[in-house]
Amino acid sequence: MRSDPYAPARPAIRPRPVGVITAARPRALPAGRVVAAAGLVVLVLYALLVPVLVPVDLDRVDYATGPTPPSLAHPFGTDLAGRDLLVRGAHGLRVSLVAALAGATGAVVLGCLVGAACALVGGRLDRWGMRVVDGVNAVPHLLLGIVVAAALRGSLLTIVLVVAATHWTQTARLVRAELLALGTRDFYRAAVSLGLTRRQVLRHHAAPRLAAQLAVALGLLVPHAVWHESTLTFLGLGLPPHQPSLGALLDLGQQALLSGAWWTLAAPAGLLVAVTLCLAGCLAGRTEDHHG
Amino acid sequence: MTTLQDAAPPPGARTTGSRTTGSRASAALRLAGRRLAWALPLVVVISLAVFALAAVSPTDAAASFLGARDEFAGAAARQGVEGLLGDRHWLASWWEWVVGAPGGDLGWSTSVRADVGAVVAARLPWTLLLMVLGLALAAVLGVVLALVAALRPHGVLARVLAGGLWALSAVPSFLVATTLMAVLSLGLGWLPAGGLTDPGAPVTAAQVGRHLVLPVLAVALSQLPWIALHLHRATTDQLRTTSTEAARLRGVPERRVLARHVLPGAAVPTLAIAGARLPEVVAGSVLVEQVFGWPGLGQGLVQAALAQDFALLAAATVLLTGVALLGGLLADLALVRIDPRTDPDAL
Repeated sequence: MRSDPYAPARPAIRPRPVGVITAARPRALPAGRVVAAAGLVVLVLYALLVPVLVPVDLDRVDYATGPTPPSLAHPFGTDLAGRDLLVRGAHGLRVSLVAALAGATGAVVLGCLVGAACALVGGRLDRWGMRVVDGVNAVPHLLLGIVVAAALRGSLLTIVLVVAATHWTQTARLVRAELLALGTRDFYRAAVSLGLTRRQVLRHHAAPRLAAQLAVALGLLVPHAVWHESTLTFLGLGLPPHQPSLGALLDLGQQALLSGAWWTLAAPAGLLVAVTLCLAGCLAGRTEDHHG
Repeated sequence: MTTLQDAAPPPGARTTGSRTTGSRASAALRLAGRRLAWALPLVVVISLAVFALAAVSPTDAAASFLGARDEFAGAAARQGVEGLLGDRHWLASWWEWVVGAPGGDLGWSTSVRADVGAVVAARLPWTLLLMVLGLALAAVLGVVLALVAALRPHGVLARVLAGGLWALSAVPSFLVATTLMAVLSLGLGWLPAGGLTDPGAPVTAAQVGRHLVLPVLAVALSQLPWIALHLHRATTDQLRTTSTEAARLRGVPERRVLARHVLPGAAVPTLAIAGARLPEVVAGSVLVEQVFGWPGLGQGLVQAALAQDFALLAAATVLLTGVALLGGLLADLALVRIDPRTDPDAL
């Protein structure tokens, strides 16, 4: 994930061409963004279509086949129980993406509510709200996730809760800052002096500006939420093993490493990294500092 | 573009005037005091949250304590275990934990079957060793890579690095750790795959050193991207400042220009965000410990979570958060030391 607030607006590796219009800021590699978007489309199609096209009973094991390296019949190989990793990878990607999307959405909604409440109510609520934001940020998110998952037992809902509960802070800060900045703008004062109600101002001026920013915030959160799901499941605290999420596949892959079946780890690992890179690549240049 | 800031001598190139040293030291002390005063309520809230979560947990504490023996435990034995685990209100258990904590009595770990204080004391040094060495290696690698890339911005290495670091930043640390283990240990057989020592071997420096290489490498590689990318950006900027230019024109040797004029200034923005990144470093080391079976606090935390051992879980969570907070404070103090422009009272 691109997590570099000090990243140059243009790659520092290429000298600025002389004589070309230099006033316009060169954008951050539009070609790279196209590739990333295309990759994302391919990945989503893979996750959506493969389970439909290749209906396999996920619980069926085939020890007669056992682990086979990638071949034409099984492009990603098969795991220790003889299950095709191409199909399982698609199922895992599905589960992980659903968990991540739900968690990220929950985080953005919660952050929106807190940020808006802090900015609109102000005063003591604002001070305490921001203090809570600082507190949540100071605790390693993974630790919070481990504690919550330990108490509530791993399930899809737990993962969503964990991601939402630990990642709303960035959105809350963003929404609060944006709303407070709005108060100083001329068009806002004009709208107020024209007699618009607070609700109208929020709907016509604040909401459209916030919507774009929130979309980016959501996009940035999704790969991080994928990371959280796979990490917690990898540790044995997330989704149950029979639900083939990317984390569960990685966990099995690590265990299979000892018997030399490297492809059982490589397939889900490649998918995980590809999803993260594609999502980050789509948003490159619009990223704020966001830990990875 | 010359601004006042560019024209100012770079931080670190001159020593802070003695007239401000005293007040800066006391301001740094105030900073430390303020952070500690803030950490205390945070620790209280975290521990409260762990105990409250333990109370609402739908799992059966006695069953998880007994494990596989649960099926065969008679009613009397079960009652005994339940009595041992205590059927009190979680606030009462929390209060007992808080009162005992200053004296080192952190309760009884049901997963390790030992005193939590002893478990923590045995494990925390290994975690600190791993984190400090990993971060140090990442910092050294980051400085070297950033300097190379900044000095030859059009070189092949700079281009490969930019792409490679970006890709590496997308790889979760547990994947970095497993890949290292797969290649260097299982594939090539150069290094042991995990543990603190070979099975049954005594804990000697040579043994631990060999087993330490892969975990430290994993922590360093997973933290390298942000360190190197920030340093690269800052080094590039610092190389272009008028003060660097002036130092070169004065005939200062290039090596000294880099060491005294470029690097201290370049370290400032990296240190400034290091405090915010330290929770990630702690999380990364938890994962690395788990992959390599490194007997640190992070591995203890995961084991405690799997076994529903909330006494150890609370202690490990609080301590690891404390490590992150303390590391952030140290980073900020280093910032105050390096850069005379930073105001300790504003941090």
